[in-house]
Amino acid sequence: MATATMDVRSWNEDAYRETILQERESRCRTVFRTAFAPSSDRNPNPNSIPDVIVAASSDGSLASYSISSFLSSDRLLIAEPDCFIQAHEGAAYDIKFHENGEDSLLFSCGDDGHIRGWRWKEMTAVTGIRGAHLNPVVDLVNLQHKGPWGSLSPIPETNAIALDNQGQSIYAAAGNSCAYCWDVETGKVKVVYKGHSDYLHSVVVRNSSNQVLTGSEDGTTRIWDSVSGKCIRVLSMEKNDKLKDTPCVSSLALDASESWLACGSGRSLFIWNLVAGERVSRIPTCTSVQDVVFHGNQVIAVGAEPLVSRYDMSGEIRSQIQCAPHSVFSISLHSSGVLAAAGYGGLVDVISPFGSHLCVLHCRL
Amino acid sequence: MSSAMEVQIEEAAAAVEPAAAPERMPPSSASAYDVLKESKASMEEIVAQMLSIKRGQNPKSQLPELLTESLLHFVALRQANRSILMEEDRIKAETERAKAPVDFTSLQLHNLMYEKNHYVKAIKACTDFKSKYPDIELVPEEEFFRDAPKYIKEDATPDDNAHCLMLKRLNFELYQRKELCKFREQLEERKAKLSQTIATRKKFLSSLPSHLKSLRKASIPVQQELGVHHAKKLKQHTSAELLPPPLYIIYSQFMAQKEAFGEHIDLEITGSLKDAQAFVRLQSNKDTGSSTKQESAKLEDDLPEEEDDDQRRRKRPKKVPGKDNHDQAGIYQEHPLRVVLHIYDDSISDPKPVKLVTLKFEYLLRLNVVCVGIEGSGEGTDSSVLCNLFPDDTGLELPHQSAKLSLGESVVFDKTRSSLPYKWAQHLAGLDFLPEVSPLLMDSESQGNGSIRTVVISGLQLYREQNRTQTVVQSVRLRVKSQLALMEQLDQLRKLKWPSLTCGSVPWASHKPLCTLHSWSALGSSSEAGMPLLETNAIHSSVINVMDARPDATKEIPEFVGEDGELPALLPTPAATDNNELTQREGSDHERSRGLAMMSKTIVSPYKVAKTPSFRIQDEDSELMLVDSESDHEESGKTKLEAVSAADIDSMDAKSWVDYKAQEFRLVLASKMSENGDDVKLEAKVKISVEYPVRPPLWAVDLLFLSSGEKNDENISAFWFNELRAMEAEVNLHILKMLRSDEQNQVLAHQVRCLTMLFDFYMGKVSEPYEKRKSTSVIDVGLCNPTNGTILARFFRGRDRRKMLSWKNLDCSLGFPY
Repeated sequence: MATATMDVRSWNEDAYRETILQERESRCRTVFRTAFAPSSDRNPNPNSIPDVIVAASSDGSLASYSISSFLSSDRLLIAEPDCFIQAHEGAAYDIKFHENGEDSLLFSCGDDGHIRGWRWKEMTAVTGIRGAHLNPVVDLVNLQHKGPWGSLSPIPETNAIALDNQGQSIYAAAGNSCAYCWDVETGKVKVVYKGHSDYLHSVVVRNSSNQVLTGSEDGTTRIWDSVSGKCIRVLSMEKNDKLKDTPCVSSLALDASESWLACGSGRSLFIWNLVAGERVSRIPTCTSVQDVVFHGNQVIAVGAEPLVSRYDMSGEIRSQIQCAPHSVFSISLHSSGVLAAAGYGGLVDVISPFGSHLCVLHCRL
Repeated sequence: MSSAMEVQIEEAAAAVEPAAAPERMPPSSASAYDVLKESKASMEEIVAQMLSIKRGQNPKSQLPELLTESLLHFVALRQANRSILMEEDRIKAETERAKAPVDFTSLQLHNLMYEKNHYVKAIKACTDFKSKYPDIELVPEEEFFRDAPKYIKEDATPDDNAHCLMLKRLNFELYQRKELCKFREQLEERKAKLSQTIATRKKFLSSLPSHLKSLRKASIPVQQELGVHHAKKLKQHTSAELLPPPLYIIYSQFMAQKEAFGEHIDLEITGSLKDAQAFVRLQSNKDTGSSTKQESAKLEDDLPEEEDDDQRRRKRPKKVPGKDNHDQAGIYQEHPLRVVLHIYDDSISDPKPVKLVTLKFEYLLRLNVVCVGIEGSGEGTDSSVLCNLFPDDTGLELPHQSAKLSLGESVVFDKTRSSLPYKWAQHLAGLDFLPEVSPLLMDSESQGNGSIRTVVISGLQLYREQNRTQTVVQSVRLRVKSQLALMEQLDQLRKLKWPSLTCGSVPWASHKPLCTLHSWSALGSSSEAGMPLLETNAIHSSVINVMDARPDATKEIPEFVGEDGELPALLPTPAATDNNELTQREGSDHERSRGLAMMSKTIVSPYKVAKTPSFRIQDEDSELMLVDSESDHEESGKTKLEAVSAADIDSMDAKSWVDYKAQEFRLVLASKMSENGDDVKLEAKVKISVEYPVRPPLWAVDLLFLSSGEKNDENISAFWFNELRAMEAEVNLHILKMLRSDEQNQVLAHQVRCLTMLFDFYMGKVSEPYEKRKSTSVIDVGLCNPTNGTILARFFRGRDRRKMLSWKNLDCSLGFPY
């Protein structure tokens, strides 16, 4: 830092104040989602450690980090991103990779209501230069409601996105209580899923049966027919008896067979069997669940505590691993079993399949 | 008988013939040979006849005849023989005669050759002759022809015989040298005369000061009468001359600043002049020997008079500063003179401006550092005003390497002293460009040493370009003012009054607090913990060992609780390692902290050291949760707890110097939950660094549900974790951007008020029935009226469910962009 050497000989108080604020800003950033980049190898070994991780942060940036370059040291790193693009105004909430070999696309959505698709090859070509401008391949904007006298509502944010298998459709969980199915080719909304009474937190696609599942702030999960846009079923979460309100459904996850659903809702984790259509278990957690992911027949859940918890289907805790962020917003799983827990403080904790910490990245501005 | 005769003759003939045959007669004797040959032929004919007669029947009558004839022939033969021999003798004699001259001439030739060789040798010896003075520096020929007097030059021409010319030139040389010798004698004579006059004049000059002194003394009453403080000024100037170079630079530069820009400052020099002079004398004697004795003698002349001037000076034992004592006092030995700087408020155009602060600069001789302290810290200002005036400048570290080396690594500056060697003081004293020669030598030596002089001059030029004096004065002023403002705000808070805001344009100014200010207490300054600085390396390894030895270290931790009840860091390991990185960025920092760790006796445990108190709350959380999870699930104990907590990140960024002398306070806001009457308390700990307000106070907030026993405290605060962090971000960061620059000193008040409003907002919303606080329609949100102290919005937004705030006419913060 240049300011560390600043003294009476070259004093610039404003610049110094600016660096202090910047430092504070980097400290209270949140990484909302991480995703492992598709391997550059033709025939990737699914068990090898992923090399690149992309983090979407509350400042709207997407930054990729090379894990292998940080592996050597076991200490916390102030990581310099390999590439850094300002993808969104406001926070970037979700990113998803559409893996297609050379033409892999990275979709991001954010608080500004935009869904943007980036060509991964072009992103990797952007070498660490800050402010390097990259044009998105796809740019979709949520619609604004028309009010009386033609007034327009603000653009609702997009809190989560999901992709179908072909990468032709993007399902977006928007802030105006609706989910949308976007056609990537035409850039138009194909289907609107309307019915929730509050804004949506999460969306997942059940490709095997053409269904879309959404989790909302209103405390319900809805299953929709992805083509017709009709609500098939409303899964109500149990009311939390301690708190008077229904907690929101903050996160959803499907297992590989797409027959099991995990819902994080308030301080509980619900597991549903979609085939039987009934709730299997309710797992109480210490803090509200903020992200959940299936790993084989185990569920990995994270919340507003520095712990990564594994549960089996019956709700028994298998293990708990201490992790770096105090509030974890994203848990991502790589095919090799490597986990990345990211959250408050701009921290990304990469955890090996054996529970040891491969590296902890502190993303800087 | 006849036959015998014949045989004899024949034999004789035979004997003659071989003798005659080899003899080659020269042509002159040819005739004799011819005679010989004829006679022989005739003889053979006769003999032949005689033989034929004897064998034949020829009458023997003819025999005698023939005999006679043969006898004749024999005679002829003898004659011829004799003549040949005669001829031979004659020729021999002739040859002898001819040989004699030949011998004579060859002898002559040999003599001549010998003579010639001798001469050649002599010539060579002559040509090889070398002069005794081979290289006499002669004037060049042209000059010789131009300048030489006639009698030497005579009729020499350039093409004259070179030898003669050389001789003449030599003569000229001799002449010239003699002249020069004479000239030198003259000069010496003159010099002697001049030095004599100088001596007389010097004598006069040395008697002059006493005259002047008496004159000045006489003028003092007049000066007093007229109110001219010439004497005082003069005294300051004379004492300025005695200042060591660093203090002199401070003095002169501030003086120049004052005179040129009308800066509201005042300068004076205090301390014992007598000691200073003694010091100067000692120094000069030591360094330059006797050459400066005169000067010191002159200084001594000044002495009694100065003593008269300075009546209040107490007589102190004349302790000559000894450079050789190595004890602590020797290290901190200071120059007897100090520069005192009074800084006045410049904002009011009052003829008699308020004095803000008085700084005292002193110079430590052995360490070659300048120390600054505050004199008379009675007006609510203490020494922390000067600390961290510029980043990373706690004043505990010796500023230059040489000083550190001279004392050894382990020595840290004695912080109990009232004045400390801040880096800015060194810059102010120009120690970054002053050469490291012994003080006071500079002035006398610099005339001789041009390079040092130019270095100092260019350094001073840079000094002025950087506006160092102005920057420091300005910074001190701002610092003092903001400290005063801070005091005021703290006072209000201590009395549990809402701090007043002068600026009404921010929402929290018009917000009427619903909650009550429950308590405000000081947690003390972080420097009181004894170790304000983080030690990195040594502790790091020890901690790792500890952690490795006991995987369930958390259960052991309570034994490390410090004396003041402060909770130790949960896992300082990663923090320590990361401090390494940071300290590499500012290498000196690292060295200092190492030095401190070795030096300080107040270290309780490494855990305590690696701790920044403001983050205790978070540590507490994580610890409790950790213990919880461990006791519940034993299998999780197998995972190595090497995790990095957010607190570690914070402590990593909170560099040691930043926290130095930071004050910490605990603020509790209480709010009644409307439904069941439970008290909700917001505990906010704030760390106010000395850099206030440039580094705004840093808050850490936590929720306490006190009255309700069923609720688990840590669970509540964990449940509210994201909201609490959002509140922190708001007060620590976002609202700062909304403050006007003239409101900076009120940052603490703004933060408290904003925190209050946020707390009201959150609690108010919480206490409302669930349905009421829902706003389902986006249109309602979009068209909502700008808030005026209360907040309307769609309540949650985004994945982190953050509350939406929108400020009227100001930047948006939390709820972008509405």
